[in-house]
Amino acid sequence: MLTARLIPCLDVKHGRTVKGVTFDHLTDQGDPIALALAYAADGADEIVWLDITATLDDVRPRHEQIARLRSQLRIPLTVGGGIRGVADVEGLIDHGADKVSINSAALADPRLIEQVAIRWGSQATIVAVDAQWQAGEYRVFSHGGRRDAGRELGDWLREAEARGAGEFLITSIDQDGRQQGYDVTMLRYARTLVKRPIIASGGAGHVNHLARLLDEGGQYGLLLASLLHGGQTSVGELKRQLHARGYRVRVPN
Amino acid sequence: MRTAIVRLGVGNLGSLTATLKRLGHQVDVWESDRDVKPADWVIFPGVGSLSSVQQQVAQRRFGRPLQTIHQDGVPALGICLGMQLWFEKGEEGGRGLGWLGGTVPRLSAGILPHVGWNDLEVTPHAPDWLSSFHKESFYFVHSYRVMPEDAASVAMTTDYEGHFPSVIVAPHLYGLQFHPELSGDAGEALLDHIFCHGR
Repeated sequence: MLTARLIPCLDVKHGRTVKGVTFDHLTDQGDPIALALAYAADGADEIVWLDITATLDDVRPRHEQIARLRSQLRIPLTVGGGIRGVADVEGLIDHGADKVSINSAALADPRLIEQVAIRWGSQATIVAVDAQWQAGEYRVFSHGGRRDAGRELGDWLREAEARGAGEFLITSIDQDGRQQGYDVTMLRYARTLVKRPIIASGGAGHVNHLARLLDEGGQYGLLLASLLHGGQTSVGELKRQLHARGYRVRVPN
Repeated sequence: MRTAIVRLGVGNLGSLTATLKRLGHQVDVWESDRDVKPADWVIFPGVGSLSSVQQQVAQRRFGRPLQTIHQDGVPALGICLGMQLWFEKGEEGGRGLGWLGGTVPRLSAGILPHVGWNDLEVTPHAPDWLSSFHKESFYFVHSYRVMPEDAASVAMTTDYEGHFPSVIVAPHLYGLQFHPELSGDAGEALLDHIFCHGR
């Protein structure tokens, strides 16, 4: 049977992870390569690498970092942040990304989803969506959650699916960083609308929050960010706890 | 060991080459028919669609040399779409190489693609050396499955709203529906076993 995916997210800025992490054996905790490998060794099912301020100057060093990570990482790698078009996607995939996560650029020109899906396959095409409850509906925001994209969540998910999105990474702006639990209501709404796998993001702060979402069914992938960065727990510990409670996870040896 | 990877598309081969090198292989990537030369193993990777991969086979003029390699009985490993390519035809009209009888229909499941870590179960047809991977998890990402005519070629299966073949063993053809190169220690161990026993 399919196991629940626990997916640590690295927030990278100018080649360094920016949120505090605690891995005792890491000498350089700002090095995203060392951190990704440590997560993988601890039982992470995939890695998401999110460049939070990718600028043109960052492109070449980022490619070098991703190629170095790829030569050592033995689980799937998704890279996102700062993708403006097909050329950016090509650079990331050629250097070792298995999937790319596109957000603002897809909202600006939804044809980008088709272009990526046709060339690299839907399985490589993750559409990331940041949404927030506002005036009685879930609104989609671009540019790191700062700009109203003029879209309702359901409309955008359906369009992105039709254009070839292979997975969705849905972040609740309301819950992000608060560690009060995933936005179950929003995710449940999204789940009824599209048939692609959904990675839930924003709000995980305790193993109970993971369990709560898994209880929904719907095969959500679980993105983990601040929960791990703060050193409160680890991927391995969360998996052991979920396993002990009877959830299907891949438990590291 | 000299191992060749047949370039069948645009995805990155980074994790596959890195894994093979860790296992001590000398790795060649064949970009077109001109690169084809003797190898101990030939690997068919692949993501995308059956029709796009068949186009790549034609564009890169792989048709004839791959046929020769197959007839000579060179051991081959097919990963995901690379394995699906060996069958006769896909549901949406894409044609395969026809080395194995059967088709490649869409999975019937509510959520597709099937993405994530799922486990393998041995069938009575599995060679003994695969038994240590019974119930071991590997990383899958696919929307299509193989439907072989020869039930005895199905060595292992996986359950995603129904069982489908996840490991195919036909004389000198070893097919994996999942991605061993993205499946951590288990993936590397399985590849090592295949290269060791499957000849």
